[in-house]
Amino acid sequence: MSADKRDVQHGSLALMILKTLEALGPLHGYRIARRIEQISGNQLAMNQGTLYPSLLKLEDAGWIRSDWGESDSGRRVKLYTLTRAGRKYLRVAESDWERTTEIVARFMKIQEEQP
Amino acid sequence: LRSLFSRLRGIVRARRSDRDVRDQIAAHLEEAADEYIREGMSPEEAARAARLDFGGVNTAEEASRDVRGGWLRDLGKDLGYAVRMLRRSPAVAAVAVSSIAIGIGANSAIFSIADAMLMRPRPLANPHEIVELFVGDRRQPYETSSHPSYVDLRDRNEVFTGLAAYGIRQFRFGNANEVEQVWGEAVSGNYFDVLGLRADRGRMLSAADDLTPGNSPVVVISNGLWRRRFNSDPHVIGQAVSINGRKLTLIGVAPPQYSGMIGGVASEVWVPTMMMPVLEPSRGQAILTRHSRWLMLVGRLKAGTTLEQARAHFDLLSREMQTARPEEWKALRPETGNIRELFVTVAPERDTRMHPGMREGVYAGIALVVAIVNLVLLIACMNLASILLARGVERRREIAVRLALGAGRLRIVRQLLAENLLLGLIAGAAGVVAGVALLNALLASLPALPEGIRIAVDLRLDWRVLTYTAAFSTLTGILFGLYPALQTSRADVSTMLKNDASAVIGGYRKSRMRAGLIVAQVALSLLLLIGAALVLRSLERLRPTRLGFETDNVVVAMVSLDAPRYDRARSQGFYRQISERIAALPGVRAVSLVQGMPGDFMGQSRRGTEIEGYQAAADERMEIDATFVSAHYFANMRIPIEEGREIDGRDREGAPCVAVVNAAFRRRYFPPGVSPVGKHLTKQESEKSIVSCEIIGVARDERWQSLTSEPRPFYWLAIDQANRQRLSVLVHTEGDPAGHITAVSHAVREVDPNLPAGDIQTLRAYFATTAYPFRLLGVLLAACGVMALLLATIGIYGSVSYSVAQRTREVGVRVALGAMRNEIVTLIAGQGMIPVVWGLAIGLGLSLVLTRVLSSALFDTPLLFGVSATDPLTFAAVTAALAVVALVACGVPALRASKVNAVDALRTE
Repeated sequence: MSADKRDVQHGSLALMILKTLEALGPLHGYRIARRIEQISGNQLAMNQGTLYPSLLKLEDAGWIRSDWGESDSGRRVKLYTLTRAGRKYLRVAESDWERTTEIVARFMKIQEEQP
Repeated sequence: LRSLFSRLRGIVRARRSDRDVRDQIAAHLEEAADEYIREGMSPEEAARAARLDFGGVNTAEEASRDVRGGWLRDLGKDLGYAVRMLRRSPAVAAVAVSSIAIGIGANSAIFSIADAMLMRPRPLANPHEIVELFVGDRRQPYETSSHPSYVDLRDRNEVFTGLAAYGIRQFRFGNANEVEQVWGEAVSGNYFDVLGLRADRGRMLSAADDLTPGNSPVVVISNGLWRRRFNSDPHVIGQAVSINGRKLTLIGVAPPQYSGMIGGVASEVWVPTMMMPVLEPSRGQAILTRHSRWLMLVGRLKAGTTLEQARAHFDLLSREMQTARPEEWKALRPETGNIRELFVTVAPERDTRMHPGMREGVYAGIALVVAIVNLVLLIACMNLASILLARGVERRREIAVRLALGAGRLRIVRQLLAENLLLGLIAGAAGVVAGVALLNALLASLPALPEGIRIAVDLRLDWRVLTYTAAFSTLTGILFGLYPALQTSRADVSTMLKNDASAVIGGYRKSRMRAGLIVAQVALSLLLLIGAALVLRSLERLRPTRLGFETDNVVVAMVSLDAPRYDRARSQGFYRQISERIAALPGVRAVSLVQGMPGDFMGQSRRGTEIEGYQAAADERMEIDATFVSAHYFANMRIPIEEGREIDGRDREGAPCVAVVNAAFRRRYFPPGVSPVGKHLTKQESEKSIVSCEIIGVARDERWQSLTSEPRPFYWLAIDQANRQRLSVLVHTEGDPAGHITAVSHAVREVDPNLPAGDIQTLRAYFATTAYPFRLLGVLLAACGVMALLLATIGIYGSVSYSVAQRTREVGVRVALGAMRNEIVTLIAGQGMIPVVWGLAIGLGLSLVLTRVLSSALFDTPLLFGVSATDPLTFAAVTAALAVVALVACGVPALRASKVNAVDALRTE
């Protein structure tokens, strides 16, 4: 892991999981982890282990569902699927996220203009 | 609740979910390793890389577990750990538990008594509908009603489904050979209907039993009397029983839970009011006229009628009665010239469990005791607090280690909560045991009661109080146990582990808090101890030996002659016979007779006394207490006569009337230097005759007439010149009086076998009864004071020991630098004493203000007599004693500290 990798920001991991599941359909834990790493261009320092508590939380919240299935290599794994409630939540969270980042971005610009 | 349910479900699923997570993680690692292998790594390298990417497997499992199950699942684990922690330091646990148990126990016992006496409704049907009526004037509103007034009010009122009347009377129950005095009630026919009481056996009285005087000789008895005198014989109904020498038919047995309308004292028989002229022939028909006001009234409100409506209604009725029955309701009082208007006071059942006239005094007494036991609880909680504070600081390292090993802060707080909860639970259980023990001890300490009085108090431990006290102590535990823990868990772990210096600095605030707790504990303990000492000192003055007359070797027998048989001549004959008969018994030195029961030793107030040479002021009420005594009373009682002579054999029927006055009488009614001897006082013997008596002597003031207040003017008349039915026979014996009780009882029987076997006991035993409330209060105060002292001592000792342990290294440095042993002792003990001295100062201030309550007018009889509320001797002695105890508590750990070996001390930590 290189030094310029970033820690996963608090709360954003859940959003990444949901978005991944929305894009790719049912996935098991390792695939979700790999996908997140790939999308970030290996820029994120993520202990893959932290994924599992998050998955449990999301399942408790009812945003994802899990079923036992098989991985590509034939292992018995749990496959996670986005639920309807999860999809709804993702819409809201996405627009929130966009608004927040937009506002923060504006502030960053102000600083650039007036050094 | 839903979250709780889902957590419960979580626990059930937890096991499976744990395995799920583990399986998933295993699969995850294998998948990851497969990928690395595909990239060309060896299987070992691949597995290693996969693990590296994954991070801590255990952390992931633990974190997953925390998501599910939550606190409820952990609670069991926490409690198990708490048990281990408490077992590791049993001394701390024992002190904490026992101090809280004492607080809880004392509180529950006292509240249970208050509950039984005041808070629980009487066992009547729908007690909230029951109201009691009192008929009185503005000055004394809580008085009784006459029978005709009862009938008037019963028939005129529109707010009750029924209005009943009852009068408390004493009855002689049983045949001549086993007669006993019992308390009972003369009741109106509708009494049981109004109260909603059904017969346990037979039937209760009905309206038909109370129609015409003397016509229905029936009686209902209590369940207790039925069991005691009839061995629960189911066939008693219809039997004839003797009440006051008359045969009445037993028609019913009352339900077991009902013991009459008067709380605390059991009523055992109920007869119709209409039978009273027959049962008390001395009063005859007069008892049913407007001149006899002896009935209490109780009614049941109609459905939907409020108390306010009833009050308004009876205000109206009172005015109506003043117009309709002016002879009773609007009478002119000849002695004052004032018009006395009667009116009705309506009080709900809950306000009448204790007679409203007595309530203030009783409430004040109970409030005082409740305040005292709560003080003890407070001190106990402070003790717990300082123990937990000290322990909390001690455990900083433990907590820091656990934080460093990755325990969540919440998890640690939860753990500490569990420990305190456990402590609270154990203390609560111990408190129940202590409470029951205390209640039993209180009941066992009840003195022998006068004949005929049976205590009817249903005592049980009150769960509400238990909850309140247990909650209070658990909350203390949580607050003070958690505070240091929170502080620690917020602190930086590494510095705390690395270096104790920071902990010492961080501990400064906590040590100040601990010192504050010591200050408060010492102050409150001092307050309690001073209060207890003051009451105990005034009790000491109540000891019979200090009363100024002979109380050793005296047997007192209470006798009451029944009126129709005993006219003036026969009464005087009885006085002579009984005196001679008992005086002839072996071992008897002398016999004296005094009018009335010893409870009336203060005598009865006599109106309209006039004193020769004394001009009463216009509004002065010449009511002076007086009693009747037999010849040589003063010599027998060893009361000195200061001038003149005492009553002797010359003062018989037919001889001139004589009186002996006390010194207070002389001070009050005669100018200094003027002797009352030879002067006359006149007393009103009855409506018609006024008798003039010569004052023949002055007796020294005796506290006899009143145990609790300063001597008042008082005079004695010769019983041989009067006709008194109720008297105490005082038998002066040579040796131990207890052995003479049977002989005296036989002698009374021999003179008149028809007299009830009255109460015969030693005078000491009698005083034990009258002084009981004071003694109980004194013992209670003393016990609370000792508990407070014990708790404060433990608190001080613990606090100083703790600071010694903390400062071991510092002491070692000092010793190494050449400090002398006594210097170390002085240093440590001195610092330990600083909060103690503050506590003593504050406690003294508090006591100066608060002990005045004891002698205040809050109580009917002030609790302190002959002792000032700010008695300097008591204050000084108690303060000094507490200071010495504190010094010892500080000194022991200080001495231990001084024995520290410098090398060892520096090596620790």
